[in-house]
Amino acid sequence: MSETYHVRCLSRVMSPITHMDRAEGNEALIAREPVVTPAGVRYLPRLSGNALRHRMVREPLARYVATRWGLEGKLTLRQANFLFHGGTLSKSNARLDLSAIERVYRLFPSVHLLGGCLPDAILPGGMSALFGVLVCRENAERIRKLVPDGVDVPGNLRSAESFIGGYQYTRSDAARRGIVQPATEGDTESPGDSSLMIFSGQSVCVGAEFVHGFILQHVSILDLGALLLALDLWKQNGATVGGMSARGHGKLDTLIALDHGDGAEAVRRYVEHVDAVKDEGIAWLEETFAALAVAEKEKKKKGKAHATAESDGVA
Amino acid sequence: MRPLKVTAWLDGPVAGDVPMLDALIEYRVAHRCDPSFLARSQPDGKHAPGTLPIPIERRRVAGFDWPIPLASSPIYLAVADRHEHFTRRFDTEPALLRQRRVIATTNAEFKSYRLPLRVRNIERVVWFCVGVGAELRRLLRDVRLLGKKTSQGYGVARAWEVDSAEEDWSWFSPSDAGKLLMRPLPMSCADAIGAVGGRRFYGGIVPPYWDAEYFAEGLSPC
Repeated sequence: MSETYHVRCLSRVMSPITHMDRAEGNEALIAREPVVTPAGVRYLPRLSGNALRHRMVREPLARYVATRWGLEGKLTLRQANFLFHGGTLSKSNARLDLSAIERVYRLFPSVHLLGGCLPDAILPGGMSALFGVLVCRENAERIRKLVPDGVDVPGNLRSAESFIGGYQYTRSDAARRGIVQPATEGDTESPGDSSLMIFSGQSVCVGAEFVHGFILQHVSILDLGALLLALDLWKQNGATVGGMSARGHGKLDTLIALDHGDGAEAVRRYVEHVDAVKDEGIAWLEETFAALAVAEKEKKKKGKAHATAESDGVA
Repeated sequence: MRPLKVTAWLDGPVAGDVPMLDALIEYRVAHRCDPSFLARSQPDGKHAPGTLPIPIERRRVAGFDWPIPLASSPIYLAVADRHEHFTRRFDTEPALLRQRRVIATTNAEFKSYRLPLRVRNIERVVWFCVGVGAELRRLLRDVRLLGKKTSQGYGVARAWEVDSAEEDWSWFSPSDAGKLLMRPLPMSCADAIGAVGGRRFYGGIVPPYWDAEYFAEGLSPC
């Protein structure tokens, strides 16, 4: 039976968020969106739904399935592309084979949740990842509509600009650390040339908060379980969004609330389901992607064998 | 059926175009249709325009093959109109793969991209139509997202309102300049000739609006 769920999240920023949009001169700028406020249109920081759905849901789920099914080190590029990035429509004869699509949805609830592409079909998903909306004075009215009824949003929120900070790092320079041999004759590069580089940009400060969430339309309890497990795995693995997580940026502390249903039961059923369909799932990945690669290779070989001098462009 | 005003209150920006109300309702009805009806399609798997039972009145005009819904184009004021980008980057851990080889990420199936997307900030969208209010309310209740890239959070519809309208303003409405065109109509529609606020175009006049098989020359509001 399918149902509609709304999973709401409140994330507190624990280390500077560098979810960037573009560079202006040599400064990286954070992603912003125009918001209509009583004082006019203001450009406020936000987290994009596209980034959140990949980082918080698709990647943790793909990694979970790959680990659980023992596929690490065994995936082909196309299989990895399907699991981690949703796949690509690569065949020219796109079609809708409903029984095949039903099978994919059954084997991979994550695909029913997020959508994706088989080589010959586009598969719609049932989940929408909402934008991360900064909790600030300019967004106050919007926040009141996003939070559940009964949750009080104070009227004395800070302005969005008070949450904007900056960062600056310097790329180290080997030439200045005395570990480079002195120049010899014939060297085209002088070790004295400094490649020291300062780079900087904007960030969202520690202490800021974002309201975001996920709307799941007409999904099964397995799909809900997949989402909740993904969020749990994401939290266990550092709970970061945006760029420069390798430098410690982008850590969130997230509270998750499900509007109705038994989340723990949903996760339990999803985990059981993944184990139950393991053999069939691996076989499907092989027949859909690995077999396709073999067929293409054969076709190429055949094409070469039948090639004439003219068709090869040889005069 | 009576004249109605349908309003969608939005919570965030909308990507792409706001859909026509009749297209939205046909989409919802198709989901709820008896499978036996859907099985009675044409040999190519399609249903001819005007066959889905929607709670919006349709009217035929001379010289055009399919009945046209009495529903206006979406009416809205975009307070901010801009373009954003959505991206895809193919990156994976070599440790996951069975083969290590060079991957082209600038073409073919593993291509990374950064594509533009038109995004508008709209507080509410209004459509005028002639239909059954209670049925429209029921169908629209579950429509939570409008436009393109809803999976990325665009086009969140917070609430829907269906109210009575004074008159039928679905095809034309009165204005100081004269009769104002409210939706795409075929050139063969004699009433549309002389209406203000329209431009000639070649495209979809009845849903499904994307299907080039049903394209015709017409007038579209501008």
